[in-house]
Amino acid sequence: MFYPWIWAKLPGGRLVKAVCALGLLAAAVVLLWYVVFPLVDAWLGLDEVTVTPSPDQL
Amino acid sequence: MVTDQAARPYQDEDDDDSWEPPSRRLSRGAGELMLTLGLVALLFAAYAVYGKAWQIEAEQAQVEARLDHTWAAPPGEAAAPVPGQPLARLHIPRLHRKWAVVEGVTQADLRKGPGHYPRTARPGEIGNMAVAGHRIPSVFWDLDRLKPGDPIVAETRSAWFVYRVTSHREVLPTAVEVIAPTPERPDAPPERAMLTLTTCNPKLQNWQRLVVFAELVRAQAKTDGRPPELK
Repeated sequence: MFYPWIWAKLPGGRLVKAVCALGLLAAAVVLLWYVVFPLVDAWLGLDEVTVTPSPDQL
Repeated sequence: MVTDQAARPYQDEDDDDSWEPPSRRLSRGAGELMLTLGLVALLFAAYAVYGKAWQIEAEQAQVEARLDHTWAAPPGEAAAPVPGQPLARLHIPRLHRKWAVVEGVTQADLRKGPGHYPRTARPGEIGNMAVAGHRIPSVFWDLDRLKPGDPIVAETRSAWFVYRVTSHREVLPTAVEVIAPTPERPDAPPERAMLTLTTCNPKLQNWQRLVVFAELVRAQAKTDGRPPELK
């Protein structure tokens, strides 16, 4: 549904389409890795490694 | 593909975008969406383990270089540690690892490597030198493999401080007494030189903290060479 639609929109013959598709894939991975994942990671709080007072101890 | 079409007349429907039963369009779309989400989740797992580890390794290289540079310069007046700047090096021979420890435990500090809790003891001092680090492969991933008696060596500009692991504990994230000068009796005045490492537990989760306690057994001036524990 989505992927055939993108494929149809890509210009050129099969080879050009394939190269464009790879480019899009790489762009998506870079965007996720450097922008989306750091935000998600901070939001999940999986990188909390310190001991901190609980709110009622403060 | 072209030869297949002759054998499977219904294939034509797939290739022809003009018409497809709505139910099939919908299930195809759902399938694509789920596959995509699955791949994104896998990629996120890779990021959580390796991506962050690589980032920290890159930052560590810079911090290490800065520490060497600082130590190479003639000693100035003993200034308080600067947040975000390296203050010591920590060696754990059992894990074959060493890091430059930075001052501070904010997220920004911990992206550079292990961080020293502000206002806790400095290497070799009486009290508790507390250090936090991420539970990722380039930092404290294998901290649970430390056994009692294993050496942890803190290196400063002028000396080596050899600590030995005494115990480890799993505590709740609010257990601030583990970084108190005397963890067993948080209100008592400091009497021993201790080292405490904290990281998250279980791996890749955050509802507990893994805490490793060590106690100073020996100090050695840099002029006396490397301690045998590091050979």
